Amino acid sequence: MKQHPTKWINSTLLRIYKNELREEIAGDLLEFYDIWVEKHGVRKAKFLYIWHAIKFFRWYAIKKPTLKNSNNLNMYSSYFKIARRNLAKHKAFAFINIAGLSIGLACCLMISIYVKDELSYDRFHENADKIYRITRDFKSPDGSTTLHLARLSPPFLPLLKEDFPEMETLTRFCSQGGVFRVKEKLFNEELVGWADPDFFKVFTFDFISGNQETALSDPSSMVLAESIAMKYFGTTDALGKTVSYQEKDFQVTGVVKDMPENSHFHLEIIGSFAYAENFYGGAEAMKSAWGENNLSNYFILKDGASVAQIESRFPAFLSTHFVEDAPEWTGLHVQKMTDIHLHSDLELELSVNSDISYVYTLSGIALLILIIAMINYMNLTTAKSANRAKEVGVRKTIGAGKQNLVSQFLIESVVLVEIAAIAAVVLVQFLLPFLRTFTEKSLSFTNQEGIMAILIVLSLGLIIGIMAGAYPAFYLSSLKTLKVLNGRISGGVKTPMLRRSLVIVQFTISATLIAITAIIFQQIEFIQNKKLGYEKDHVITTFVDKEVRENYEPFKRALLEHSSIKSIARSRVVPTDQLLSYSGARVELKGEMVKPSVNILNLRVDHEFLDTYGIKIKAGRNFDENIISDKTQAFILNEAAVKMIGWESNEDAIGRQVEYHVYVNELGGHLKGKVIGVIEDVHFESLKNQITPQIMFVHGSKNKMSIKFSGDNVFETMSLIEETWAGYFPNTPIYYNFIDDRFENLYQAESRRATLFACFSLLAILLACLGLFGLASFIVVQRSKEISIRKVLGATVFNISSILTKEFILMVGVSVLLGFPIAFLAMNSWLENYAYRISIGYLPFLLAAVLSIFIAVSTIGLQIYQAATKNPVKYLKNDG
Amino acid sequence: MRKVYIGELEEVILLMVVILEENAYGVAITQQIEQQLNRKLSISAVHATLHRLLDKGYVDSYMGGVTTERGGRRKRYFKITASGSKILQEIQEVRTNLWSQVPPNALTT
Repeated sequence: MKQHPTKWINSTLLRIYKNELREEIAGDLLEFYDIWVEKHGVRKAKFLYIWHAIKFFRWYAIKKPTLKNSNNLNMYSSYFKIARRNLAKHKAFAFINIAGLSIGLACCLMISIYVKDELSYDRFHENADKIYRITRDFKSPDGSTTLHLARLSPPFLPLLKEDFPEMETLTRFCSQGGVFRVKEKLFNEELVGWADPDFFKVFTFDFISGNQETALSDPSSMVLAESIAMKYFGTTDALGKTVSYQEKDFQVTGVVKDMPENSHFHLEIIGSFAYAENFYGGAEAMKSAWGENNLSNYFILKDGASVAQIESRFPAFLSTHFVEDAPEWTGLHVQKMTDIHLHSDLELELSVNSDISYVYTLSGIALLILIIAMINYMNLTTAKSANRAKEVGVRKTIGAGKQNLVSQFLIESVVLVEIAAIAAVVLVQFLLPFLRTFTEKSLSFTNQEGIMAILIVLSLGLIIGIMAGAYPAFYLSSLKTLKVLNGRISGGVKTPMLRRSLVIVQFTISATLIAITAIIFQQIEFIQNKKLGYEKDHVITTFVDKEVRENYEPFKRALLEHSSIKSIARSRVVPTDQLLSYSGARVELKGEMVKPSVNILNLRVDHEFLDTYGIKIKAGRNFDENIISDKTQAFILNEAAVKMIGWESNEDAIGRQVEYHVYVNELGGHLKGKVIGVIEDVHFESLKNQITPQIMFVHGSKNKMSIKFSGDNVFETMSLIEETWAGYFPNTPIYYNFIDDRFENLYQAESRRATLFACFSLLAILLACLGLFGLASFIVVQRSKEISIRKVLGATVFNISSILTKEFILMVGVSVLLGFPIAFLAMNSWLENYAYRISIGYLPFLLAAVLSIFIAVSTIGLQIYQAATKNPVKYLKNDG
Repeated sequence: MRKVYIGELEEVILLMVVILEENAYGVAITQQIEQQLNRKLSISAVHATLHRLLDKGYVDSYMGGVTTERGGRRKRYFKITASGSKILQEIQEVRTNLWSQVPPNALTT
């Protein structure tokens, strides 16, 4: 007798097929099975048997679910009807519920839009995943990093090209703006790059006209962005037209679409790199300009090559081509281009980057808000269950099973959440412009993305509807019929554990957010009020170009004649700039010339600089215009430098020998001289950075001008400066910033984040209050009989209120205690980013605790008061 | 009645039903198609086609007697109906008609 090794299949798999077909299917398969066994052996035959059994799965063959009656379907439409009627009946409840959910969803949506934009940076380049940037760092003798620059000096690229075949295509550009002239019109442009011909091979630009292969090959070629072409010529058809820069004529060889905003660099004018050679004093001089690190270098990685491999060969490369000991104090690194926006915070970045931790934080907040909104929904819905309990009882009596009730409530839930989802989408439409202004991003959607987003939101709504609706649905459907109809819906006096923990979760989140927001604002306040060591008010700064340099003294004299102008200084950097320049040094310590352990950053200033910025001299004197040796043989150090070098005191430092390794032609060697003064430590840079050892000297080019004026009549003073400027420098439009504006800008990202954080915290708290409101009303209804009896027995309104409030205060108290460690840990790690930071005190926590309890009590207060003042007869009489 | 369309596979299987006469059932048809046309079909495909033909009214089916070889299960035999015969003949006629119009030597090999 033949075996039936596949019997189980007949009883399981084949069961899905129609009864009348099952016999022949099984028979036919078995006949084949015998054939397969002979042909392929038992194992394979078994497999084939199953496989072919599955293949019968076709529409004609499978059993259709037989509806015993069509009632089921009718019931579904009835559920929708009931859902609609319920929403219409309890308008306030429906409104609170939908509003809470849609605000929560809208928040999530906006955050996702923002996060999506942050993650999309630099992805628009065709080779985005293969493009890398080369960066350079400098180390102090003690091993610490002095600077990490996002740019390299000019000699690197040609050498890298030779030594690293893994770098398929290399390109670089130098960003330097200035005044552009078209016919007689002058334009001051900032977003200008000078790039070599391979630029367009590495980066993807959308050419409207011109040939991208050859666009930059001619030394006098220039590519314009669409918007610039429109501005200069009133048309995008600008090929062959002439634009002048620094008295040289350039021909437009291409017009490109404006770069998307989500790029780590922005260029509107791209000129041929050949011209950039002039910035270094010609092609020859450029080859040895190892110290001029201002070119952004990128390459496309060859398929299969490894970045780690490239990086490991950099030290040898530096020794061979640069100087033998180079790897000891400088190094090269490689960064993936798509990582720059969120992971890179180097000196000389092409624009202010964001931070991945920010993306994480915001996504976290989005999730928390969503959780709060869902908890709310659950709480509010169960709170209302008292009203529906009788309905459940009646339905059960008539014959509704648990399944029917669950699906009814789930449908109601999904309907409500979908309405909220649609409301959220509409809300986002209204709020997006604000987010755009606030973040200064365009955050635009293509139609396709918009439709995708809506679909995602709706399906999210479905999921949330089911998740949030499940608890109320199961809770309601499990009510005992008899009890419900008798009017006894709740088992105990206490709030069920689950709902209590939900409220605790909500308030933990809220309390944490309040504490965090308070700490962030404290820190920002601290930074903005910290003594900087210089006066930032009533100072403007502007660039010193060729024309300005030539005519500087007469301009200065003319301007200083006015009493409103206090002083005018020139320097290489101004406060709020980054200090990027250092050289090796030797200082006199205990009678010997020694190398300091940390590199000393330098500032080139004139004798007016300290006065203009009100920087205090701790010891010694300022530079003096009339002492000739001050030009090349005098140094002023800051206190940090004195301390780092190891001199005993500021006074001890005066008169000490210093060699600073800046080559000076007139001297035929390095700067050598004496310390003439010591200044107070000044926060030149952002307070995120520690004050570094700094040295000041007069020698060298100083291309920034600072003008200090009295604050009496700023408007008049500005027009005075502008007029005088125009009189002396007719070919250079004035372009100035206020130092205090620049200072604000340093922390703009921070304060913007803080505000965003505060907004979302506020929303989270608002939503949590909604949830609490729901819970309070639930409890009040549940305990109405208890309250009534207490009243009858003589309890006062105050007694009852305090009994009811106690529980909530307890819950909020637990939340606050849970939230504080979280807030503390999170903020401690955030504050570590700052060299100058507050220490976290008890104040933010106290604030959070008081605020949480206050908010909680005021939310539930009204309901509790109502419950406590109601006439007890009303609740007692309907008990059967 | 609307003109019922008949596919190529349906035509082949319908012909097989005719050819196999009294023995036209799933397994036999599948095997015959494999042997004669060198065309491997899965039993389920044949099955589905037969039932489609049944729906269209080109074949009729009846259950055979109890067998011993397939675990005692009965076979479903198929028999061509009048409309089935008609459509086969129609197809044949159309083809013959078309073939007669093919000019001599028009088909190069």
